[in-house]
Amino acid sequence: MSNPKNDSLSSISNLLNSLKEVESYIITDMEGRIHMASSENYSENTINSSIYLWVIGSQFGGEINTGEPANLIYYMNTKKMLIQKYNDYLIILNLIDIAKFPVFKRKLYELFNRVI
Amino acid sequence: MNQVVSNIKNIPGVTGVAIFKDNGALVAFDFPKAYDKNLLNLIGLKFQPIKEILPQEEGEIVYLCWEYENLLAFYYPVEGGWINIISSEAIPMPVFSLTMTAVAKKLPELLATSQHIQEPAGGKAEEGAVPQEKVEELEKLFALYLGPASPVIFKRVAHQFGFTLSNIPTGSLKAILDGVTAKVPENKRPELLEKIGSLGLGII
Repeated sequence: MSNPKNDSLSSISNLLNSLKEVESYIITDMEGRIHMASSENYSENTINSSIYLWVIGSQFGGEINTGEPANLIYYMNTKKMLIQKYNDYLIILNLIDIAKFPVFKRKLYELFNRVI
Repeated sequence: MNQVVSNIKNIPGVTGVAIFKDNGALVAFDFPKAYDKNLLNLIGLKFQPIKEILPQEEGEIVYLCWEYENLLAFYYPVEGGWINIISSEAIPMPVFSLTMTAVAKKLPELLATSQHIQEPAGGKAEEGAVPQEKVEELEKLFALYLGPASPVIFKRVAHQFGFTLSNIPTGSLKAILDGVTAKVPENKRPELLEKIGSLGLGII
């Protein structure tokens, strides 16, 4: 029998594979277990720091009564990352340099709504 | 420093600015009155380790931005410290980038000479934090049961609770240790717990 959780992760994974703006991705849970990844070359430090940043973002949101963040943009000189929560998972996306965050987020949410 | 705060506050959509030194000491802020000092303490404590935590191999960070419903929260690192900014979603990003580039040039010199207006929140937490030598003993112990992955696991469980290995409050240690020991094979757990007990942490 298929597991609905795995099915939706597979749908998300297929969706992410099809997006030209996504260079690579990791789908992890809050305990750092990898559920899907575009390659095996992921950094444990990236997962650890993403979990920390998400947790402190939630704690900050709790203090200002806005709750959990919808997403986290991680903007570096050399690359762009978007961290998105989906149910109990964190989706860590490495985006190509020319991707525009607002445009990409809109596109991603529209596609998420269609496949999930 | 007030001029810097004012320049950032003048970016359309910005409602709050707080500037911290690398040690977590607050040096300037202009936050809405609805937010109290606890929030600034939390920011000082939780955002202070970010520079150390972020993977070096990922490159230099320009900013982080948490997006909430109708609100954005920025973390903008500069040499010697960092800036937290709260804004509406309508913030014009080109204006933000231009202003922050100018601020990042000017701020390190100001930070070097500025007095803090609030003690580093980390300082308070460290008094009640697990001593580093005990953390190191725990790391060695976990390495025996979890192998080379143990530092990653220990750090990760601490991060899940919003702490780093250098600021675990004693009150949260048991929950963190429970998280780590859960990764150890069941038949080895009693032995590990006994060894943790012998470290004199006063929790097991």
